[in-house]
Amino acid sequence: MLLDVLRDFSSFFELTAFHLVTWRMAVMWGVCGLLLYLAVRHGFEPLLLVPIAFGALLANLPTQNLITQVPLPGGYIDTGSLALGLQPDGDLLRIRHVAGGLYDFITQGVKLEIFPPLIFLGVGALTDFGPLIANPRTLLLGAAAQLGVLVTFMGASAIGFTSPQAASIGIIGGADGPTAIFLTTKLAPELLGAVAVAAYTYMALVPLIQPPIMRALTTRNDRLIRMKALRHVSRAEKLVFALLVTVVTILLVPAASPLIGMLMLGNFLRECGVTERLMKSAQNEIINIVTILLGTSVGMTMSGDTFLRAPTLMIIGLGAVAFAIGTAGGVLTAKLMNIIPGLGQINPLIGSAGVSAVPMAARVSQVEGQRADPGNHLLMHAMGPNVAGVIGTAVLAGYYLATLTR
Amino acid sequence: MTALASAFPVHPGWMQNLQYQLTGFLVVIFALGALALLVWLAGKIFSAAGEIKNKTAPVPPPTVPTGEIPAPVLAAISAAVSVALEGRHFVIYDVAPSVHGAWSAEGRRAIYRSHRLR
Repeated sequence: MLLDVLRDFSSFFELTAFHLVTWRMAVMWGVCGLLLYLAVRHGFEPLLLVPIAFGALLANLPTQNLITQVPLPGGYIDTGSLALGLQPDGDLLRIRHVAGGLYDFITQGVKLEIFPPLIFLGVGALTDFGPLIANPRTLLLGAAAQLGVLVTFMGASAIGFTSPQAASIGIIGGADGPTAIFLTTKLAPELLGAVAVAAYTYMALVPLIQPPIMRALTTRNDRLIRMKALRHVSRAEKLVFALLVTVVTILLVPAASPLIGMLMLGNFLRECGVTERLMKSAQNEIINIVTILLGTSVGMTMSGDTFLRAPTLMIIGLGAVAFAIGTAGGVLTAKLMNIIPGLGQINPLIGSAGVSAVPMAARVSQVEGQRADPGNHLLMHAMGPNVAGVIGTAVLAGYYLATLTR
Repeated sequence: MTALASAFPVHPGWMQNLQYQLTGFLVVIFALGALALLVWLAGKIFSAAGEIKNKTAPVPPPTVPTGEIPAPVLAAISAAVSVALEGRHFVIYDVAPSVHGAWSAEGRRAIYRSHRLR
């Protein structure tokens, strides 16, 4: 009797998953722990890093009925594959059943590019474009900050990444998580985990990365420039702006339609004043639910076999370069704009906010401005290039999609 | 765009890559520049419409306080100064209307102080 119980007990251990744990998984537990520590203890983009890190932890456990991992050529792993049971029916093939774990289904929101545009819907509903409308010149600062993306693309290409991979790495410099995920899913899905983690980590590190660059590229007199107070922008003007951006941008770069379309739909819901319930849903429930699903789905791509490779380190390094060059591009362009007489002076510190990372980059401009002159308030001025950066990154992503999708 | 898409290789040469990135930068500058121009034009139209509207409704002249400051107002100012100086001794020699948006600047300062920035 006792022997039978012991035999059953030992045979039960064969059903557990301890023997499936690999050293790569164990290392990734440490990476997940670090990300969770940064998010929980230091508040680094916790809304995204917590779901990403938890998803990564699940990806590095021998789970069942959660997600399917299929090896791809080149050592990468495809996550979230659904198995379709097909049945011939005349000339058609009918789906008899679909098999997969929980995240095989949820990850389709990333693979089919549904989640990033839904995040943009919420971002649009949360964003006030008033400062940008009041000072439309700042749109150019949002464009200039994309220099980081372009230069990093060239750098990544030079060290051996393919053009679609280089575009996905360069877009980290746009400091716009949903756009980075959107582009990478389409062009280089094998790099999704590394690109997403680099993008969100650097967005969280904006207050550390940007100030030294901003100080190095500006003189004290530059930092003391006080900008003219922004004019009041009416509701009608904001509505016209949303429609203008939608029409002009989609006509110019149709590949950016899902991002720009949803961004401006969210903003129209916010500004029109008659869809309060929809606006609140976009600002809260929709963006919150999608953030959880998007974050965990991205984390699920970070299996040790894919993540613990030399290219991941290169991607993280190149991401920092992209951020730095983007910041410098914005600041230098603002200085350049001050050469043109009669247009009013721009404090170059707001140029750095062109790298999206809304609203953290604008807050950094405010803090740096106040360091030079405590009475100078740059926050609202910096919100102009900040939201322009979101549009600029989406346009650039559209350019890459249109030219690199095969 | 179609020619560009079919021509751009997976591993481009340096010059080819530079040309591709410059084209991309031009696309972004053109898109955002066109938007800036259109938004500026729309702003001019809205401002002009607002001025016409304002001309039809005359603005009442601003009221300027004259004479001595009432005792309750002086008491309120003294109390505010005492709170701001956290109980330190002080003497008020003069009271004058605020200029250059001092009140709004103080309000903004208070709001920004409430934000925790890393």
